[in-house]
Amino acid sequence: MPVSPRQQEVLAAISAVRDPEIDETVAALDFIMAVDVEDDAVTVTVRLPTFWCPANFVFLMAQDMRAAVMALGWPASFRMQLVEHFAADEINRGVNGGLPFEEVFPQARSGLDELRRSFDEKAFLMRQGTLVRLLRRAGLEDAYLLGVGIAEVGGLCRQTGGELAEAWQAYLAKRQKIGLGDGESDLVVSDIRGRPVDDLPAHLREIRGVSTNAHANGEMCRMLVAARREGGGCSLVQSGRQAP
Amino acid sequence: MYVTENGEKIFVIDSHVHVWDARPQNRRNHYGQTFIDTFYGAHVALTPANQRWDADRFNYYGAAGAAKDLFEDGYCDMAVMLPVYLRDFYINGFNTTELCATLKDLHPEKVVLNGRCDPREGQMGLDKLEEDFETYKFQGVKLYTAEWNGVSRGYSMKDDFVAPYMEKCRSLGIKNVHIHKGPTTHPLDYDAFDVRDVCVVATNFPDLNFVIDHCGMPRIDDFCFVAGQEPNVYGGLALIPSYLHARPKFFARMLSDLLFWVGPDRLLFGSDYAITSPKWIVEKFMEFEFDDETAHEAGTQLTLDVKRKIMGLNAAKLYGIEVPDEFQLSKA
Repeated sequence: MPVSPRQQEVLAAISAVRDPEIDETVAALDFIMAVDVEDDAVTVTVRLPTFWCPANFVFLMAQDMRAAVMALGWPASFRMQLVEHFAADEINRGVNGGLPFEEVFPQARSGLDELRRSFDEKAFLMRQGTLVRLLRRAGLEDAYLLGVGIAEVGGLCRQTGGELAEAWQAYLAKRQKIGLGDGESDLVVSDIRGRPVDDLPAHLREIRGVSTNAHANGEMCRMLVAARREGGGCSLVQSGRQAP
Repeated sequence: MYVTENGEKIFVIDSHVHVWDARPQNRRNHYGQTFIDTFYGAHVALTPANQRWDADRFNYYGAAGAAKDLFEDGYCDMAVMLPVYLRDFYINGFNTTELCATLKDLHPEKVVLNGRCDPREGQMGLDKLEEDFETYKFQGVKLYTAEWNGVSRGYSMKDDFVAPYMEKCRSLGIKNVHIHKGPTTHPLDYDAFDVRDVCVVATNFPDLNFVIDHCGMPRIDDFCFVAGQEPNVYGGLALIPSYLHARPKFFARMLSDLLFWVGPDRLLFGSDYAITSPKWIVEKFMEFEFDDETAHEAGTQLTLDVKRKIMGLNAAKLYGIEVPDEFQLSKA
């Protein structure tokens, strides 16, 4: 199947959308089945590992995909086509109509903002954990790390380059996302409110817990995606995976 | 019983077993199919290729099939049955107490039969719990907080209507309350699978034991927090050891976190049968060792005694099962 430049553009844009719980891209998790572009009308077909994947998470990803596509400028419309999901109709209708989650699922106990915030906070901690482990490996002492500000560490990371620079960029992006300050001496190692930490090993252990959850879930996702290709999982639609 | 290379004997209690009926004729609606499809996806995802079942057997294997998989092939000395009804999806229920009882009929001495209750059913549910207790005399009940029931898509252990059920368990002498807290299956149930609601009942009913099946997975950190502060909260491991084949590193990571926060005395082995079967899980678990870094994170190596506790001795204590001396912890 030929892939047009516009299809490629759309695919690149939505591939960067992340599963909010696992903090990995929908491309890495293999959720995108097809991208169709007719003139300036975009349709994205998405299939998740199971029929029962939580609709609030799906809704977040679908909203993000819509925003990523519309940000390209040329698309006049975006249609989400979630398939093989218990709430496909509601989610497709909600996202395509630009409706809030609470309106589509009036029974929900809480809206999505709180959920999004909590995922961002967890992602911030996990990225901080990754960064701190790399800094420790580079020879920096715990006592120094507990007190150092973002300007100093940012400079060091950019200078060193490689995975340290990448980890720094990822950390900084989430730091901004959850609204932490950007003052030179604002602490690199902190809780989600920016408050200092006394005990680095204990702090890293807490982060490890958050990250264990995310990884266990991410691995389950990937295993289910793989199993579905081998004939396990949802048997409703027998059609194979379409190349975008 | 599992016997190690050195001839050490391990008493195996599978603390998470089902006998279900997901055959097409029992499916009430589309959900009945998709529910078992998801289970089958997990079965295929987690099970070594040469030990996978076909979808027909997975729909229904019956008590005789379960007996073979657990007691003949699966090293299990005993099995703890956890009924889950899902009557909104299955005409006669998915994994009812009656269906579980068919396995107990085959092996009365090997099967620990538990009941179930749904606190949303008010007085009718309390009466039914009492009636089931009269019939089966179980020591434990299973609660599935994310179960659909009419318009409800789940409930919280903090809901007011739950306490009378805990009171009823207490008065009947049911001491083990299993609460399913596993991977999220519905959005509106993110709350219903949230494990933090267990704190309230665990504090208010200190004489009952609360076994959190699947350890709140994937919110193991929340579970660790709850279990860390409530001494009567236990971790039902089911699903975690099922990672042993496909993702051994993540198994190690989850188990090491649990050992560090909860310790080796409150974790119960479960195969989550029939999503996965005990044979390969028991073999792999008994052979498994932590690398040094993981052992450091866990605060312990997976010693034979730690394995003895997790595989059977912890569950034996909860259910008052007498375990012969040959299976007890090594004498120091």
